[in-house]
Amino acid sequence: MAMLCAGLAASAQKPDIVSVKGSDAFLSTLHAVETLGGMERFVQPGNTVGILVNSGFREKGAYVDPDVVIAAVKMAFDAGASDIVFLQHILPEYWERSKLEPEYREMIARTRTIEINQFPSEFHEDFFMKIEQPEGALAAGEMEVVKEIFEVDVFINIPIAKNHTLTTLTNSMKNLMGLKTRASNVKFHLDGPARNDPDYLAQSIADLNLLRPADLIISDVTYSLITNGPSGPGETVAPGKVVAGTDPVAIDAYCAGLIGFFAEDILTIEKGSLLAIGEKDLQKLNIVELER
Amino acid sequence: MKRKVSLVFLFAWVLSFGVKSQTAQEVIPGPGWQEGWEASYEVMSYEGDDLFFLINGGADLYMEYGFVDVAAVELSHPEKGNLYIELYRMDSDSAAFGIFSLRRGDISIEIYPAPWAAYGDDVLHVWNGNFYMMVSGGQMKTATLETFTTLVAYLSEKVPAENELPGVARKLSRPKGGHYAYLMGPLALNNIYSFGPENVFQIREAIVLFGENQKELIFYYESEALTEEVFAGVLSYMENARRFSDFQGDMNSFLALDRRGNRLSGKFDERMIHVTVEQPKE
Repeated sequence: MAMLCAGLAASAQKPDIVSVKGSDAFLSTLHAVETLGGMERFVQPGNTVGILVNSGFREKGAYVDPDVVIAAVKMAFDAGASDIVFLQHILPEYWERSKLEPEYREMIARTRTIEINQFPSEFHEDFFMKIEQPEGALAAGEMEVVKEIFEVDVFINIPIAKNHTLTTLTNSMKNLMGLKTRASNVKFHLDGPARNDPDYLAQSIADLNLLRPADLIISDVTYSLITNGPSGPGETVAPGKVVAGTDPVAIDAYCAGLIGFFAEDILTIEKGSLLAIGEKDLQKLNIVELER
Repeated sequence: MKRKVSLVFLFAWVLSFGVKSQTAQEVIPGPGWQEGWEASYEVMSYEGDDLFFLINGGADLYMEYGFVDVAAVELSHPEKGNLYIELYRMDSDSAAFGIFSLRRGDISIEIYPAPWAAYGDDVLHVWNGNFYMMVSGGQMKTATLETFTTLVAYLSEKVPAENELPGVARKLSRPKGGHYAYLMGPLALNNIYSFGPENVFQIREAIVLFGENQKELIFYYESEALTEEVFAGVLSYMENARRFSDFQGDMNSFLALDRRGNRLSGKFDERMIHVTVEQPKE
C-alpha cells in the first residue's frame, strides 16, 4: 500500500482526513477508519450508534455504495456497539445492491431503522422533536428533527459526494437534512428572501450542522454524479476514494476537489466556515492519502 | 354562414382552452386505462410548492421552469408487472420541453413531432404539449416497449398537442433527435456546468448541445446591447475567478481552462453567447 501525505502538518500528527483510493469500497472504508484511529476511537463497548446514510436514490453515483455502510456497521459492532440504528430509513433493496449482502445479512438484521423517517417524512411526536433555532444559527428557524440523534452515544454520517442543483455539492453538511421531516426541509428552500435562494439554503444547512456534530464522517467518493443531481441520470466521475474524518467543512472542501468542483463555489462550505463548524482551508489540515 | 363559422371557432376555442386547462390528475393514465391495470394506491397529486413532497431533490429545478401540478400513480397488471407514472403539467410547451430535454438524458427520441417520446431500457420520457410524463418500467415483467407505446398513444389522444418548440430550439440546424437540452434559468445551467454561484450569464434561455467530448452552450438575449454587456461581465469574471486559469481574451472571445482540465472557449455573436466546454484529451 502506498502512502502519500498531502497535508503540510507533520505525519506523526493524527490525521484530520484520511482518503483511501482502491477498487474495493468495503476494504477502502476499513482502511480509512483504521488510519483515522480505528473505530475504537469513536465507539466504546456498549455504545448506541446512530448512522445516517444517503441511500434513497436509484442511479449509481447518487447513493452511497452499500459496501461502505456494511464496513462501517461491521467496525461499529466489532468495537462493541450494543445497538445500531439507521436514523433515516433504509429500504431492504438497498442492501441487495451489494455483493456482500449474503455474507452480512445477519449482521444487517441486527441493526434498527427509523422507518417513519423516509421520504416524504412527516412529523410524529414519537420519533421527531421540534427544536428551536440552534444557538448561533443565522437563518434556520424551528426544525423537526429525528429524536434519536440526541439519544445515541455516537453519530456516524455517511454521505456521498455528488452534484445538487441548488447547492452544487451535497456531501457531509447537506446530508444532515436527512434527519429532518420533509416539511421542515422545504422551509430551507422556501423561507428565504427569495424562493429556492441558494444563499439561504446554504446558511440553513450550516445552521443545521450546529445541532449535533457527527463523531465520524465517512464520505463515499468512489463513483459520483457530477451533473443533473441529486438524482441523475447525469455525468459521473470515478475517483475511487473513501474519505473519513470528523470535520464536515473540511471533508466537504476536500471531496469537492475530488469530483472536480471548486470549494469556493460551495456556499455551504463558506457558511460552515464562518460559523466555525470546521476548517475550509485544506492547507491547515493533516490529510493522509492512501492508495491500495 | 358567418354565424356558423363563428360558432365553430368559438367551440374550437372553448375546447382548446378546456384541453389546456386539464390538470395532471385528470390526464394521467389511472386504473383501468387499459384492461387489467389496477392502481397500487390512489393517484397522488401535488401543485405548486407541494412538489417538494413528491420529488426527493430537484423540485426547485421544475419550479424554475414553471411547474403547475403533477400526478403520480403506480399501476399493476397481473401478467405485465408494475409501472410507475409521473405526469407533470408545466405552464408552457417550452417549459415541458425543457424538463423533457433535461430528464431524458442521452436517450434518443423515437417518436415525433408530437408527442416526443424517448425510450430507455426501463424508462420512458414523453413531451406532449405542456405535459411531461416519466414512466418507470423497472418492475415490468414483459412487453415494456409495447406498454410504453400504448401509453404514448394514450397521452397523445387525451391531450392533442402540436408541441411548440421554444423559438431558440426551432432555429437549431441539428435534427430533432439530436441530444440537446433547453435551459430556462441558473439552476438548469448549474445542472449542466457550474460557472459558480453567481448568475454571470444572466441566463433566461439557453441551449446546450452535447457532443462526444464537449458541450456547446448557446445563451440567448433580448438585444445585442444586452448581449454585449453580459459578455463584458463574463470576460471580467473568467479572467478573475480562481476556478479558471490560462485566461486569454479580447472584447469578442475568450479561452480558459477549468479545474478538471476542460478547455472553455467563448464568443458573442449578435444576440447570442457561445461557450464550448471541451474535455481534455486522454
